[in-house]
Amino acid sequence: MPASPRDAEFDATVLAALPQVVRFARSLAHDEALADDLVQETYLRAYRSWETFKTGHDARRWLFTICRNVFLRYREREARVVDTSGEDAELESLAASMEHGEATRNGLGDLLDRIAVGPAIRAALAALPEVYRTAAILVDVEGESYESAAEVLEVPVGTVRSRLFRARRLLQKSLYSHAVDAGVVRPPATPGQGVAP
Amino acid sequence: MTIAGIDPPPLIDCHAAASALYDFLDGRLADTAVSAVQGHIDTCRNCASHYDFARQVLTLIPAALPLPTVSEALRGRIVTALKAEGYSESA
Repeated sequence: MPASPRDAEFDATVLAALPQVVRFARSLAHDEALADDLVQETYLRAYRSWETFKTGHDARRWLFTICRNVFLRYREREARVVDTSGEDAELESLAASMEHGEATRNGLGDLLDRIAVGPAIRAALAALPEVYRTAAILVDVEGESYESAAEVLEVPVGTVRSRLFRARRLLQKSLYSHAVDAGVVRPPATPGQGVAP
Repeated sequence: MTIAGIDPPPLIDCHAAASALYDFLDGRLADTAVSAVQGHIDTCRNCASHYDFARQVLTLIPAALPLPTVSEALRGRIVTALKAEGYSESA
């Protein structure tokens, strides 16, 4: 049976974005089985509310919004307990710069050339609290603008900016820790410990 | 003082440059602020090092999470669920 025009448009607009939705769901869920459930539920909801989607709008953004809402329902408790108070974009940038200065002094300035960056970044992103991870995935992986991410997350643009900067700072710190754990440099000696010859 | 009518970029310190880091890298600063930051990192090795590091990390993030290949099993599962809602698949 040929697809109806409605379903053909759904295919071309919504099903075509399946890989992006799977990636987004996996980044939220950290669990492939749960991510698959999120994706299926996202597509069911999208199909049921397809009439509300405005032609010409960004279907991917619409799907990310639905997917995140489905995820939050699964993880309502975690979403509520993450403390995002005190977020300040400028302070996050400043702290990131100070931490880079310290890392450079500890011999980590060129760490990106000395570690397996892909796995380190994946692990660091996975370790971020959901609110920060989602901002980073939307902007730094999916290439959404701050404004689009704000729409998906249903928060002001300034909040996206703060969360994104926090995410990047935490990511940077994770990379330094990863490099130390990988033996790229020795951690700084603590007072009272002699320096090994 | 201006040379040939062009104002020099305003001077900023490391603190201000650090605070502007991600707005600069994301292209969200006004032209005047961009000039000020650029003027600073052109002359400050420490800030230039961090800007360079942060820029590299931002470049590497998308490559660390490539688009997954969607399994036929998942696609089939979704299509089956959609069909229960009345969806008909394109040939």
